[in-house]
This record gives sequence, C-alpha cells and structure tokens, in this order.
Amino acid sequence: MRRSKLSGGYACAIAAFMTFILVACGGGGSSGGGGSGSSGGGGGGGGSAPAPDFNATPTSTTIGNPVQFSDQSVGAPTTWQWDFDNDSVIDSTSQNPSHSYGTAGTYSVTLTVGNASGSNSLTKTNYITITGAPASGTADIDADTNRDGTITTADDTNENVWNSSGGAVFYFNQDDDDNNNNEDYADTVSTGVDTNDLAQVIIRQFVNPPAGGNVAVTVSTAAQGNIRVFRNNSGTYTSVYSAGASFTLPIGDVGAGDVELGIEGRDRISSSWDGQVTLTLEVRNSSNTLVDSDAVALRMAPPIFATNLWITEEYHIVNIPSGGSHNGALRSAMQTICTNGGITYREAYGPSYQWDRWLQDSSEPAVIQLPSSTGPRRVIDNVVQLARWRPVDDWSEDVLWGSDFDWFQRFSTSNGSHNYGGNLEVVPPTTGQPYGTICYGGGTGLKIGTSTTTSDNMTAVYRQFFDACELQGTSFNYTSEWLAVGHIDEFSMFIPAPNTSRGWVCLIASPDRAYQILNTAPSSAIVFQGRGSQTTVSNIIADSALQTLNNEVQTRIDQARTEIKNATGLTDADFIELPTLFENVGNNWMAAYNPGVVNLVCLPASNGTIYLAIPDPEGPNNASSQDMFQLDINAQLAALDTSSNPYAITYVDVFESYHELLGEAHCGSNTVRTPPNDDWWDK
Amino acid sequence: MKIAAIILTALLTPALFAQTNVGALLDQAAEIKPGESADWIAARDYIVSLGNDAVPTLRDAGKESAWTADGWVRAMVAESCRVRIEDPELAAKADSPRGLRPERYKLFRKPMPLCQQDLKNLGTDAVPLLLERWHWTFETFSFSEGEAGQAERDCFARGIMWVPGELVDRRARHHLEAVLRDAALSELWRQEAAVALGKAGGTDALETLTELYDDETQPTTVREGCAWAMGRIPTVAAADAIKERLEGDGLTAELRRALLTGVAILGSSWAWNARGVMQQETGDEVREKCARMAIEVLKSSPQDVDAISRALIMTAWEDSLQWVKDLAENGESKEVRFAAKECVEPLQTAIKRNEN
Repeated sequence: MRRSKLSGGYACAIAAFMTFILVACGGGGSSGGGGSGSSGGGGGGGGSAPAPDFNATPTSTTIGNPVQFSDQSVGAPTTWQWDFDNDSVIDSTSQNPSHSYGTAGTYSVTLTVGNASGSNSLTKTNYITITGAPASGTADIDADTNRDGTITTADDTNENVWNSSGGAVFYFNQDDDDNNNNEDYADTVSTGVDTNDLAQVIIRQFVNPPAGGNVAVTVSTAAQGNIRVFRNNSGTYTSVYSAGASFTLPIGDVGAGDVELGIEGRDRISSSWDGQVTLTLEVRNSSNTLVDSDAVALRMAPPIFATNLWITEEYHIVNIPSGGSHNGALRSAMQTICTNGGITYREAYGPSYQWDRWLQDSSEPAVIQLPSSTGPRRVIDNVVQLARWRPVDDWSEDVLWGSDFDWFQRFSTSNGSHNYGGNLEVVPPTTGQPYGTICYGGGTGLKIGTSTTTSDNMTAVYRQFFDACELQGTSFNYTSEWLAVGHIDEFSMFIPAPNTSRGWVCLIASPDRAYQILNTAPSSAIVFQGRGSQTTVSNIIADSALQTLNNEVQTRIDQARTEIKNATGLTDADFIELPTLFENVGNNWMAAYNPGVVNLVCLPASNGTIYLAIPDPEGPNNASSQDMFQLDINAQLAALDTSSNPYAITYVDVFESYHELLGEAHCGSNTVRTPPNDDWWDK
Repeated sequence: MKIAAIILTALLTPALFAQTNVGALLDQAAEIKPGESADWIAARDYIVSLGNDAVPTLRDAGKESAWTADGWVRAMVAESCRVRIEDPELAAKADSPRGLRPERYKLFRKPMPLCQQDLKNLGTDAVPLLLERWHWTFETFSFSEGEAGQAERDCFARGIMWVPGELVDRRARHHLEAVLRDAALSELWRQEAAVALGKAGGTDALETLTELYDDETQPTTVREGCAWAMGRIPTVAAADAIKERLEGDGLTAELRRALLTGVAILGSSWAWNARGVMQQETGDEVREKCARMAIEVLKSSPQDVDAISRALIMTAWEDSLQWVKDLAENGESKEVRFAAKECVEPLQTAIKRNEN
C-alpha cells in the first residue's frame, strides 16, 4: 500500500532505479515507453488493467511556476494517482493536474492508473527539472516618498515608514472638481483635474510572474475603509478599493508592465486614525505561497490652520444691507482696506442667510499642502466647518467649496457656542511648533459674581482632531467659560509685530488699562456718544458694581494669560494690554462693555503693510477731542511695527452692527490666506 | 378682555375717569389687583390720555420719597404714566424689549434671549415701566411659543429684577423685597431680586438679606443670592454679617462658597476706588476684614481654593500676600499648604496691578 497524502493510506513502495523500466508487481503487465512500469493487481472479469503514460509541460522551469501534467494512458483508466516528486506520497488524483515545485532540483514523477481490472504505474525518472531563482520578478510598489512630486527610483529609499525623511503624502479628496455636488472622495471614477488630487502609486512590472499566482495589496488596519484606491486605465481612474483589508490585481497585468494606482483619503484624521496608511504589495504563487512583497507608507495631509501672520488673499464678510444693525460702515472700511492691500473682497449676502453675520464662527480657514512636480508644493484652500448649525455656515458649501477649495463638514451635532470658530485661534510659531499651536477657550470656573461653577469647552471630537493632525498640536485651552458667548477672540488676538524679537504679540483685553485711562480722562467726557448706552466717564468710574465685575474679569484674563504662557512659553513681554471693559449682559454672563478692540481684523498684505481694522472703542475724548482709548492703542502699536512692515490702522464702527449683538469686527469676518513657503512634511 | 375688566372700564369711563382729579385716579389705579392686566391697561391709558396737564401731579406723586412700603405702587403708577406721557418712545422700547423676540436674538452671536442690557440702557425712567409690567401685565406679555417663550419669559423676569439693581434705583426696593420673599416664584428670579436689593436697597437691605439668608427653610439658591447681595452693601456691618455667618454652625459647602463670593465682591479694591477717597478709611477696614475672612476659610476649607483665591485677588490686601505665603510654608495640613501656594502668584499679580 502507498501512503497517500490524500487518503492517508499506504501503498507498496517500489523504488525505480532505471529510466523507462516497467516493473510488474503483479497481474498482467504492460510496458510503456519512457518509463518504469508496474502493474497492480487487477480485478477479474477478463479485462486488462490500463497502461499508464503521461507527459508534462514544461519539463524544465523555475520555482513556483506551474507544470501541467497530461494523462496519456490507454486502457480506459478510471483512477489516477500522481506522485510528482517520487516520495511515494500521492500528490494528486486528478487526471490532468498542475503542480508547482517550491524547491530547485530534478524530480521523478510516477503515475498510477487503474480501472476495474487492475492498475499499473509508470515512473519517469528525473523527468522534471526545477531551477532555483524565478526568472525575474521582485515585488515593488513605489510612491513619491521623497515628496518631490514624481516617482523615481530615488523613492525606494525610506519608503516603508512615514517620518520627516520619507513617506508619501496623499489628500483627503473632499473638494469637488467635477462639480457634481459631491465630495470627490465619493466618486468611484476619477477623471480630468481630479486625478491631480490622487497620490500616485506605481506597482512595478513583475517579470515572469508565477502562473496561477495572485497579486494583492493589503491596507494597514487603521486605514482600512478610510482611503480609496483607483487604477489608471488610460487616464481614467477606476476604484479598485474602498473598504476591507486588501484588493487584488490580475497577475497577468502586473507581469505585463507597471500598474498605476491613485490614492485618496475618504475620511478625515481622527483620534482613531492618524491619517497614515501602509500599502503592502504581495505576490503569491498558485499555492498561495508568498513569492515576494514590498511596502510603501503614505500619510494624509492634515489641514494647516491659518495664523494672523499669513498673507491675506481674500477677505470675507456678510452683507447686512439694511435695518438698524446694518453693517455698511464695516463693509465700506474693509473694501477700502482690501483695495489698498490687493486683497480680494467677498461678501455673503445676508438676507440669503437669515441675516446671520457671524462668519468667523461658521468655519476656520486652513490649507492643505501637497508635494508637487510643477512647483515647490501644491496648496488647496480649505475650511473646517465648526459645529454651529446656523444659516451662514452654508456659505462655505454654497460658494467656497469647489475645485481645489475643500471643506470639512461638521464633526458634531453639538452646537454649543464654544464650538464656534471665534473660539478657535492659532498661536503663531514658537520653538518646536513651526506652524503654531491651536488654542480654544473653555474650562471650569466660577461665573462672575456668583459662587456657581460653570464649565464649557470645545467638543472633544474637534480637540481630538486637532491633536491627531499633530502639526499644530498639542492644542490647549484657556479660560473663557465666564463669557456670554464664550470665545477667546473676545479678549485675545495674536497679530504680527515685526519690530519684536518674536515677530508677533498677543493683544489682550485689559479692564485695568481701561480704568487707568478713564481715571485720567475728563470726568464729564462722554462715552458712547449718541448711542443708547451713552454715558460719561464719571458715571463709569462711580459705578462700583461695574468695577467689581471688571476686577473679577481682570483676574480671569490674568488667569488666561498664565495659561497661554504655560502652554507656549510666552512671557509677559509678549502681551499687549488694550483697554476693554466688560459688563454683565444678563444672568451674570460677560461681554465687552465698550467695543472690544482686540476683536480686530488683521490682514497682512503682500505689499508689506499689516492692515488692522480695530473696532472703534468709542472711548472718552481728551481736551483735544481725541479718543483716549484710540490714542493708547495707537501708542502701544507704534512700538511694534517697522517701516517695511507698517501697521495701517482703521477704527471701524461696529457698535450697532456687531457690538450690541455680542460680537465685534473679527466675529463677522473670515479670510483666505497664503501659508508659509515651507514643507510641513519635513518637520 | 375679561368681564371684570369690562365692568371696571365701564365704571371708570367716563363716569369716574372723566374727572381731572389725577390723585383720585392714581388711588383707583393703585388698587387694581396684581395681574389684572386689562383693568390696569384701561386705567393707565385713561390717565395717559390726560396728557401734559397731568404731569405735574404725576411727577409729585411719583417722587422718590413717595416710594414707601405702603405707597410705592401708587408712586409707580404715577411715574409710569408720567413717562408714557413725556417719553412715549422710551415707553414703547420698554414695552417691547428688542432682545426678546427670536427675530432679534437669532441675530446675536450667541442666539439666546438677552434683553437686560437694552432695558438697562433705557435708564431709570424705564424702571417704573418695568415694575408696572411685573405688577400687572407680565403674564399676558406676548412671548414666543414653546421653549423659546419660556427662555424669553425667564430673561424678561430676571431683567425686571436686575435693571433696578444695576441702575441703583432705590425706588424699587419694596418691589425687590416682595419678589425675594415670594416663595411661589422662581428661585432664580428671587435670587436676582436679592442681588438687586443688595445693590439698590442701601444699608436697610442688610436686615432683609440676613433674615432670608438665616431662614433655613429658604431654598439654597435664594440664600446664596442673599450672601452675594451682602457683599453689595459697602459697610463694615455687611462685612461683620458675612463674618458671623462664615463662623456659624451648620454652614454648607454651597453657602460657604456663596459667602466667599460676598467677601470677594465686598472686598473688591476696584469697587472701593470707585467709591472715592471719602470712603477710603471704611474701605481699608472692610478690605482687611475680607482678606482675613478669606485666610480663615483657607485654613479650614482649602478645598474651596477657587472661591478663596478670588476673594483674596479681588480684595488685593497687601498684607494678605505674606499671610498666604506663610500658610504655603507652614500651613497645618498639606491641603492648606497646597491651596495657599495656588493663591500666591495670582495674588501677587493682583496686588501689583493695584499698586499701578
């Protein structure tokens, strides 16, 4: 009996020492040319056992390549037993099997055929020759891992791990190049300009691939489902992967030449995915044995949020054309500034958005930078939509979103005011933070004038997103929960200060400074001239309740300053205190009493001028009929600019259009800006 | 219009109201029961229809001295009618606060009803109109439907309590006291009334505030408001009242923190600056007491470091910095030492600001 791999039984083992010798073990024998034969015990009935014969092609090949065996027996066999390597173990019972050899060598092959009359065997000694190395092929998957915009052999270095030295970059493809009102990542076919948004990946030709083998590309676990992979067919990219652990490609295609793929992101970076993906190319033979593999690492480009140091390309504002709170004065001032600065001025039409004017709150401007072969890098404008859920949020989608202007849709249904864009700023670059640090307001503390603790913060999903993006993290918060609206732009703002060693400063509201000025002002001087809240210096100074309240507000702003210092390494010299009083606007919630001057619009222009649109504080006039708050602000800012980068200050009337509605100029503005001339992936 | 109002209107017009005895009309109107809005509006409109001829009498009837415990409603009627005759535009604004309707507050950066500032900006002439609203027509005001209407209602009610306090309008003290004592009303409205009473009620208010604070049957919210309000009365007596209660038995954590808030408000160095040099001596005495109170609580209840720190910072009593440093070094427990250390830096900053 022979031991069978298939049945587990045993068969008699007869060694063949001679080529083409047929050995009869019993029963009637028959000879077959070119092999050693044996006849097995036949059944009765007067018939004869079949005479085995076979051939194979090729008889000489390489490891992993299949050899096709063909039965040539005569005598009507009904069973076939193949031993491809003459180890007395049956390898197949098919009539015409295929077999791949995994080890180099010369192999004798035995076929035993049988029918009701008996069986015979034929061994062809040293019939198959297998050589060691495959004739060609190494698995090779390449991407632009040196981030120069093209894929060359240089990209084979440092391709497996993403770090500052290597690894490719891809794009969360959420613009709408084909204008079909869907983010492009939802499209399963990519053509035209959208193909520029795909990071190219090339699977190099695998010469002489294993016949019957397969080619698969596995996607690292965390990225599975978060990316889409297209295959290029003459400029049309068709989706071959959007979910799961891997995708396959026809092995023949890989054997015929390079296969071009395109990668895009289809979900954002989050706390559960840092945007990185490793694609592993695996080539396997017909036995599914791994022949060779290669891997390449890519990372999705994170949004880089703009700072006030970036040059302004566009200024955006909502047009409130009529009514008591129309904003004609601010729009007019900003149009002039934009004209002078070469900045594109754009309006959202307020009545179309239910008069919602708080554009700053709806979204946060950012850019996406990608490697490019045609320039230093490619920049895609971007906004991150905040969880606000108010009418003008839609402007981003209606107007801005399109080709090469993408947007992150809201992450959360939580519409708390602390999630608005006015509560999100970027501290300009500091040591170890070349793109600055994201900050937002919130915390836990006592409501002003009460023993009631209040707690608020930006929703965790946003904070986690900022930190997962890494580039401008670790983000931090500072106290703002005591404010009615609760935004840090109500009392702090980072602006360029070219005449300082750091190059920028933090403007911070100061009730203390406001009172210092008021104490030197004529007591009869009018404040808020002509407004419903018109009063005098003496009235303000005599209001002990207002002073108590501002005393406490000052302690909270001092606390915020300490928190900023602790998070960024700033010192007291980096803060410029501007006069601002606060008041209780109801239920012990605070808001600016005079128009909040730090809530300004800062527009550095390409002409070198830094345009500052500062809410007119409408403070008391001195004997020369000059606004003493403005004089103080002008004097402090005068020390911060240079002749080549001067400030151009405009005091803008926002009293009824914004201030009385609990906001100021910055709250109603947004921008598109040019990022620094730098590559984030090298950091 | 309710039947009673129709009957009253018929009785008063023209048979009674046709007379020009404004004083008698005021007497009649002041007797209209709270909440009887139709009757009140009919009476008010009749008096207002008398025009400028009635103003001298109304002005005299509404002078501050007339706002007594027994006569303040009549004075309020007089002032309300006078303002409606002399300044109908202001009356219209007070009758329809712009921060209440959704079409307005949807425009706010934080879209919630906030009418308080607008009401405050109308000035003291609006106070009688607000009190009139509270007395007779608050419940029939046209608030929005549903949840928005509830928020508007709460906002308006709190505004009516808050504005007289902000404007330090002593005329409203009896109204505020009535609200504070009315157990049927919202605790938050009563709390708002307590704080306003502290601001507007003068030294007389301390007795009412301590009485309500000491009444253990009162809700904590109301007692908290009384504690905060004590800090609004800039006297040594108020400081002593707070001190006595901080040292008393049965002090809950909530009330201790509320009293500390009172200490912070009372000790506020900026507030004493606002009161001028004539008050400096009293101010120094009160501030030192406040600083010492905060230190004592720091020793006994360091877990309330945030409220303690605020009291110390706002008082910014120069000597207190050394007291805090001593506690940071030699406090009896590590909790006290840790809490004291937390206070040192912000207190230094506050004292430095005060010196400047």
